[in-house]
Amino acid sequence: MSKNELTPTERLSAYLDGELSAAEIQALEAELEQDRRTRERLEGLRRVVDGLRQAEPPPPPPPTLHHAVARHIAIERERVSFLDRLEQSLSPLRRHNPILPMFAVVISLSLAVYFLSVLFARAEQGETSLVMVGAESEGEGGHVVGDRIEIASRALYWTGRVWRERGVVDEASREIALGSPEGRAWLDEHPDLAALVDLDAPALIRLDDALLLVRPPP
Amino acid sequence: MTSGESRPEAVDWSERADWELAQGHRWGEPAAFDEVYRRFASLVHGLAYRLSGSPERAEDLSQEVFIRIFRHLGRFDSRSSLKTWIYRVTLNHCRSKLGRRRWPTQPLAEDDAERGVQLVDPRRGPEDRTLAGDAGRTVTQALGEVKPPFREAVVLRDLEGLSYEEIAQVLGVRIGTVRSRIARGRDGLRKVLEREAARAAREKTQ
Repeated sequence: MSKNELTPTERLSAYLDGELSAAEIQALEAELEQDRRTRERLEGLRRVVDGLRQAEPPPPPPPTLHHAVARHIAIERERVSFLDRLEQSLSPLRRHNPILPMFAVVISLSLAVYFLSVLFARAEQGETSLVMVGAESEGEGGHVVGDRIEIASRALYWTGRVWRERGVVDEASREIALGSPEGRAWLDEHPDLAALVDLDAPALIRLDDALLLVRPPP
Repeated sequence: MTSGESRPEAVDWSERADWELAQGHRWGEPAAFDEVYRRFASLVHGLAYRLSGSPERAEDLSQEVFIRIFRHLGRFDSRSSLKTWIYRVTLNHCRSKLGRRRWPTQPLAEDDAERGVQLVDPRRGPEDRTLAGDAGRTVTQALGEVKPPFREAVVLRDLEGLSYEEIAQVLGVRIGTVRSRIARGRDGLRKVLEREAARAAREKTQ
């Protein structure tokens, strides 16, 4: 039997529903005239269909159903959150244009990667020594602007007691004016830093784990 | 239903099309869902009753179905009619709740079985019509002996009056499958009724 060929029962059942073509009806009715067993089978099916269609209708919904549904729906309305409604309103958009949610995911992932990389970079920066200047300098140089020292892409802020980088205490600091007697005495104690006298602007130096602000002679 | 459509002010939902009710529900209009209930309460309760065979169970199932409709109506996309969508929601819910329960019908009574094949033309007199109603009850009781997929197809076709195409949408199958299930369901019923009639005849002669 091919896929579209009906079984004898399907043919009789479809005949009762008026679902056969004119040619199929003609062929079946000719067969019914000739074949008693097919006729009996058709009558058996017809009795079933007639019996079902004569069955009493189901009872109407009881009034209590309406009250119960109204009560449940009132609770449900309370439960539905803003996000539920937002999700419902976005679902047709998502269905009709799948590119948009994919684009949103790509953007979100890109932002997440960017912020993570910034965090890691900051962590690494926090571990490097801040500055060394002068003839034996290494690392990054910096310049004092008011109460702020700009070092490469970072900035240190003078709190009146210590230099802070982004709110974190870096370490205690001391200011040395090379033009003052104390400054000259300090420079005499550190002959390896003699080149500091050639500074044309204040500088921050790290010396023996101390962070020092050195002001050049006027 | 495009997002560009403007939201109406005062709406008489009783005159609105089914898809507009879904849209109104999406907008959060309580009256739109009330109208859905008004239009489809009989359908939902009727099918739940047909599938459960119990008025109490039908009421519980109907409550649960309407909560599901409330939750998912906003996603109705008008690819089918709201009626077939609600039939599908009801049928799926009843399947999940009644899946392993035995079809709650009584066994065919002896006199029912005797009348099982004595169906009459409803155009005849009131006495005959009573007989026909009894016969209808006998056949619906016999539905309990038919396997669920075939029973569902027969219920939707012969008790709910859906077309083959509508049944295909509700069940999510092809029309050829619908035709096959209806035929097998009816044939199963025919065998049950003939078996019961033969048994009644044997007992009568003894």
